[in-house]
Amino acid sequence: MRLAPLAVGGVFGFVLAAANLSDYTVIHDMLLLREFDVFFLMGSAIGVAAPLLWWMERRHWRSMVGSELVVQKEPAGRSTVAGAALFGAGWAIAGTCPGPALVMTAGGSLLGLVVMAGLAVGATLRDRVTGVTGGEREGAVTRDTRVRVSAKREYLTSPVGRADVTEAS
Amino acid sequence: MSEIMQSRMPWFIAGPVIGLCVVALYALANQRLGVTGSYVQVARAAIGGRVDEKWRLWFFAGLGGGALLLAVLRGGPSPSLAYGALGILLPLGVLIPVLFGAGVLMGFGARWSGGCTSGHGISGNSSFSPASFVATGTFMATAVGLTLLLHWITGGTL
Repeated sequence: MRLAPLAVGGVFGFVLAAANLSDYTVIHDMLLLREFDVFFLMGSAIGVAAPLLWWMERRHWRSMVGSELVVQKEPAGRSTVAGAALFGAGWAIAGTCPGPALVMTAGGSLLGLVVMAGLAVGATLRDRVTGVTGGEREGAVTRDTRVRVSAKREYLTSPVGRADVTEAS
Repeated sequence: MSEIMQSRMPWFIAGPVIGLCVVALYALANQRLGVTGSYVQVARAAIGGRVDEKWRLWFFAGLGGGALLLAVLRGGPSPSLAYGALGILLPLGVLIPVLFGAGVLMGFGARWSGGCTSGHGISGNSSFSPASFVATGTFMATAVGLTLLLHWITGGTL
C-alpha cells in the first residue's frame, strides 16, 4: 500500500499549496475573521466527502486493500476538548497547522521546518505520556482506549500472548 | 502556465478536491486522511523506532512532493525566513522558540484530541464523528479567540 497514499498525499499537498493555505497571512486573516475563504474551503470539502462516505459505507464498499470500509467515528471525551484547545492555541500562534507546515517548508520556508520539528516532538511526547507505543492508530485516547492499549500490552508480554505472536509469524 | 499557477486556487475548487482526497483515501486504503499521525511515524523512522503505519510515510512523502511540485511551477522553491506579520514583530531569536513551542502545542494537542484540522476538521466531520464535531468547535473557538486577543494586545500589529 504505497501508491494510493502517495498519490492522495500528492494531490492534497498540491491543492493546499495552490490555495495558499501555507501562507501565514491567509490563516491569520481567517482566524481574525477578516476573510472567510478557508472556512468555505473546509465546508465545501465536507460537503463533498460526507455524502460520498455515507453512500460508500451504506453499500459496504470494499477498499483496494480488501477490507470493508470502516468510516471511523469516535466518541467525544474530556481529552477531545483539552487536546483541541491546546491545538487551537498553537494554530493561532503559528498561523499554520500540520499539513500546511510541511507545504510551507516544501516551498522554501526555513521557519516551517521549526514548526515541523515542534509538531514531531509534541506528538511523540503525547504518545510517551499515554504509553501508546504503537499499533494504535491516531484516535481519541479516551480512558477506554488506554484500557484497551494496556490490556493489549499486557497480553502481548504475557507467555500466552508471546506464544500467540510467535505462532502468527 | 506559470501565470495561472501564481494566482490562488479559489476555495470552491480546492475544497471539493480536498473532499475527494478524503473519499479516495477511504476508498483505496480504508484510512482516515489526517496529517498529524504522519509526524509520529516520520519521527519514529528518523530515530530508528518501529514504524507501524507505513502508509503514513508514503502519504507524507506525497504531501511534500505535491507541495514541492507547485513551488517549482511557481518558479521556486525559494529559501526564505519570512513569516508574515509575526516575522516582522518578533526578532528571529524569539520567533524560532515561539514557533517551535506552537508546534509542540499543536502536536501534543492533536494527538490528545485524536486529530487536527485535517483528521478532525475535514475527515472526521465528513464521517459525522462526534469527537470531530466537539474538537473542531473547540479548536476553532480557541484559535479565533486567541488570535483576536493577540490582535488586541499588540495594538493591531498581529
